[in-house]
Amino acid sequence: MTEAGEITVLLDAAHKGDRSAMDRVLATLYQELHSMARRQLAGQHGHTLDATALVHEAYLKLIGRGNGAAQFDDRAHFFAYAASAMRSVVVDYARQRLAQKRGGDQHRVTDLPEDMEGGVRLDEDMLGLDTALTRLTAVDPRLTQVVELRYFAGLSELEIAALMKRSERSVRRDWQKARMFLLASLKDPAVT
Amino acid sequence: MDAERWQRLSPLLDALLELPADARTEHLAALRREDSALANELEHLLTLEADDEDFLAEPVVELPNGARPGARIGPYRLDRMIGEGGMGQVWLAMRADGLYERKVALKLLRPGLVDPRLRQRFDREREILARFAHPYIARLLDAGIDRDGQPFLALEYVDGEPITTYCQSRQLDLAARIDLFRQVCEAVSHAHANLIVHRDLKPSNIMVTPAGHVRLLDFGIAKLLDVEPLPLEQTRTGVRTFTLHYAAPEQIRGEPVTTMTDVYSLGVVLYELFTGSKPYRLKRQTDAEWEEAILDGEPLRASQAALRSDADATKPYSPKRLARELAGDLDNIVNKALGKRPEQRYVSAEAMSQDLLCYLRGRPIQARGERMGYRLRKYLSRHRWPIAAASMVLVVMLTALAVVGWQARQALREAGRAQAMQNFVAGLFESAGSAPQDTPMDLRALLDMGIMRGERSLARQPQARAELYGMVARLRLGLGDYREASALLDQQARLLQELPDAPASLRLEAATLRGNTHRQMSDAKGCLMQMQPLNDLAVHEQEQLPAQAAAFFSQLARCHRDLGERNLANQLLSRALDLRRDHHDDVGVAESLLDISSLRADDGDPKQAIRILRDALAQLQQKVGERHPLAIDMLRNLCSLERSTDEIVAAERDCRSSLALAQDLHGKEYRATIDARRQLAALYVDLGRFSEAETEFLDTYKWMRTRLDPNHPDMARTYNSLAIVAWERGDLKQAVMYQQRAVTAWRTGGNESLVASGLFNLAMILHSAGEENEALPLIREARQLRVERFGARHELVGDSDRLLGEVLAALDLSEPAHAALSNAVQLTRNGYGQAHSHTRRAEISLARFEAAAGDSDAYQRLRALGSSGEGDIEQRKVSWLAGAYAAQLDCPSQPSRALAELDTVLTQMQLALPEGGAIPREIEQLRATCATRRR
Repeated sequence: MTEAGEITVLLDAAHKGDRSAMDRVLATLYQELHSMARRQLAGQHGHTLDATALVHEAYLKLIGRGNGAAQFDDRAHFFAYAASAMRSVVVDYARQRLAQKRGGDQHRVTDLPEDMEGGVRLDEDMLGLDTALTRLTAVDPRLTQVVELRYFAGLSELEIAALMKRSERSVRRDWQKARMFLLASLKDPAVT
Repeated sequence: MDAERWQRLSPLLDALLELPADARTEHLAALRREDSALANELEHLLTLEADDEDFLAEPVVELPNGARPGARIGPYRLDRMIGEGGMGQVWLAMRADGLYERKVALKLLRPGLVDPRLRQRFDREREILARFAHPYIARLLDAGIDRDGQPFLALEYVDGEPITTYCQSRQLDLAARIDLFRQVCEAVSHAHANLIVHRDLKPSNIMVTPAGHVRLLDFGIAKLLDVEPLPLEQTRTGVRTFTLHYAAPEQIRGEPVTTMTDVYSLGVVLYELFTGSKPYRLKRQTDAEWEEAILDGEPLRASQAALRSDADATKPYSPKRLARELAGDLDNIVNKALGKRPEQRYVSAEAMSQDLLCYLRGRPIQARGERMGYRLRKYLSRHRWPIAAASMVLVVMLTALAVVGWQARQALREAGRAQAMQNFVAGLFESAGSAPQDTPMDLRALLDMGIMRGERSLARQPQARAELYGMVARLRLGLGDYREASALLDQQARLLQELPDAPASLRLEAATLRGNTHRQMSDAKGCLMQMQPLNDLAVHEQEQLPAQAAAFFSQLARCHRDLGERNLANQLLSRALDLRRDHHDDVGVAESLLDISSLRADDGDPKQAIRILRDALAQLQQKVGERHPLAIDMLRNLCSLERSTDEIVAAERDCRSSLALAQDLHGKEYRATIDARRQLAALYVDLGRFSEAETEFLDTYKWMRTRLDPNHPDMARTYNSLAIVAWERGDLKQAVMYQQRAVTAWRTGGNESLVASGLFNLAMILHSAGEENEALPLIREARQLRVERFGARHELVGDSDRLLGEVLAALDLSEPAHAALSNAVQLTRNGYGQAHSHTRRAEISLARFEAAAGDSDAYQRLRALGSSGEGDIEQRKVSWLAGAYAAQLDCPSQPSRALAELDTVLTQMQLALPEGGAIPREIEQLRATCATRRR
């Protein structure tokens, strides 16, 4: 992780409207998420990839330091980015494990956990879901964002509504529509 | 599916998803008749969605980091999960470090949802909460953040069941239920006495142990997390569980939560204990419908609810029997607790418990008695006060209630403060009821009565008494009773000295109020002496108490400003502005900008001041509304600034808006109204409407004289205005007398810019009266003060030079007169711009002087200035003056022509300025002199 002090400075700048500072914060976050995920996978936490904790932890690390000197009021931006980062972390993870099961890249699989029960099947689903989500983004990116926040970042509809400053009901509708689109897309990948 | 297709389906799906199932089928059938393929596709998608509930239902991974049986969080080892809600999971856990054997309920908070400053707050509050103990309240044992950044709360583990199911499963009779409920009230009272409000009381937080003891969960958590409102309980699927049903109207509105909020929730719990159901009957149990019912719905009487229940729910009674038991007192008790407005409810959980005890003992209950609103209405209808007095009292009431509401929001630990104040305000009206009928209500007597009552009833509560003094002082300040306010604040200060634990918010408010009072009495030094010792506290608390800190800084800045310490004032005002912007305090931001604008005006930059003020006013009106009281002051200041930049039309418009708004919001006898009238009167002077102006000034003078020290700057302003009116009307003796008073008053205040203005006017009046020798030292001093204050090149120095030059010329000191007048032209041109009336005045004086010495160019300039008589009244006045001076110069050679010309000018002026004025008078004198020459 970048020095907390530096993050504070960047956040301060971002807070005052410096977009490039915000981008640097988010880039830092992305690296941070990846390295945290790697640490977890290599550690004693079994093979669960703890999305919510990762995102929240990253958030806390970025925000919680520096005695509250820095404030990050663009939470919506942060979480949207973090959720989408989580998606790529999870999908990369699935892709790597799939490669491992199929005897692919020997070098990289060494730091991945073994013996995933039904892992291959799950990983394939995950890749399919990722493809379907990419299609969804093409037709309605807002729905993808709701899916990312809820499924990948583990936020509740209430939290999402608060973040996106929308009503809970409209978030719920988006969620239902996204499920429809994704289910239809997964059922009949050729047509959709 | 392509994007185009989806764009067509998406809005239809939105509409269908909003419908209940049967309506949806109907809607689809209707659609099918028009476009069956489309309907089929929609139905297919809806079915797909409905049939696969599991799809993506759980997030990729659900458990928070490391939360699984056996894992360690801080010093605890997790055993099993016992609950999950919006705030996070609850686990049964044990100490893992062997310190002691004890089961705890460990709440794992979702880290992203809590404030980043959580850790500091944990450190600060943990000890206080740990000391807070009551046998009926499950203790908060620990709060912390573990190595992985997971915040946790350790609570005493309670093995029991919710109070509702406990009563139901044991079929307890009403008396037993009331007994249990009174235990709950006792625990809640204890918490309130410790200034802790629960905010989320509901049966699942009110447990009963197998031994029959009540245990309240989660007390103090709201305080610890400082979340407002507490995130409503919700499950993973986003469906709310029951918390909403126990929420009070003010919680739904997002208004301040007080101890009364808990009283409301207790009412709902009691209702449920009695009837097994909630107080509202709803068709569709949606959140929106619940909210509506809580805000506006009339609760079904508990007895009626019992009657409609089935026999299982009312055991051990039959529905009919239970209804009979509840009808009357118990219905009334529940309804009183469920009052829509906090002040309609029981004043405390203890009062509610007392009433239940009265019921059990067969004594009359309080809930039957008249409610405060009822008493108030009755009182108001009995005494028909003159309307002004009545509306005045309403202003005070609203102010008082706003203060109370604001206090209530300040901090939960201050719940007792709000309570005391509410009782106080209610008490004021009760005591007022014994006043003789048809006597106009004397507001001040009412306030004095309040203080007396307060001193009696709050004898043992010094903090509440300090609060009371502060509140009454604030009201007194609004009425202009500065001395009384000051005395009250002295009493408050003595109390606070002996209260080391008084909250920082109260200390800061008290200091701000004292500073304000001193300043109102034009004692800026006293203001600083009172306020500066608390500066460190304000800086220290500015994140916790941004509103109080910003108010403090602003007040301190005003006192520095009065002493001419503009840099300090500027720094403090910027700090207040930043704080208020950071905390989105729109009204506060407007107030800060008003202050900053005044400071710019002091710096001699009225245009910048106007710009700031216009922006601020537009923002205020857009964000807060058209009719905010602050707009009165902003409009008044705008009017004053616009007068100084010759924007007379805009000035009159803004002055009138200010006065109209002030009268509307505050009534006639209020400081803001008086100030607006004074400003309008000053404008009347500019417009030559002297008798209107004088009436206004004398009226407002009467108001102020009884309230203000004779040397108060506002008194000085009024002397100054009266002097100018007298001068314009030609009563020079009176004018000199008033103006001397103004100068004396301003000299005691120490604001040199005001002293300079006073001296300038005095010199001007004396110059008019031909007392040039007296005028000379005064205008020199005024000029010197302005040079020191604004710099030698400032346009106000130019104004001074113009008058100085005229005085010197009258004394035949030609050379210095010429130098002064030349300088005046240069400075006013640079500062005011070419077209400003003051620049013209300077040019005229110089041209007249030079022309009198035989300079024909100068004579032509004077003629040109005299013929440019367009524009507003100030512009026309100077052009008349130029024409008259030119005619005066012609008089020796062509007296008849000159006299005719002067008559024309006088006729024009007569039409525009029917009441005359200093300039018409001067021109009349020129005419008289010229007429004698012809003879």
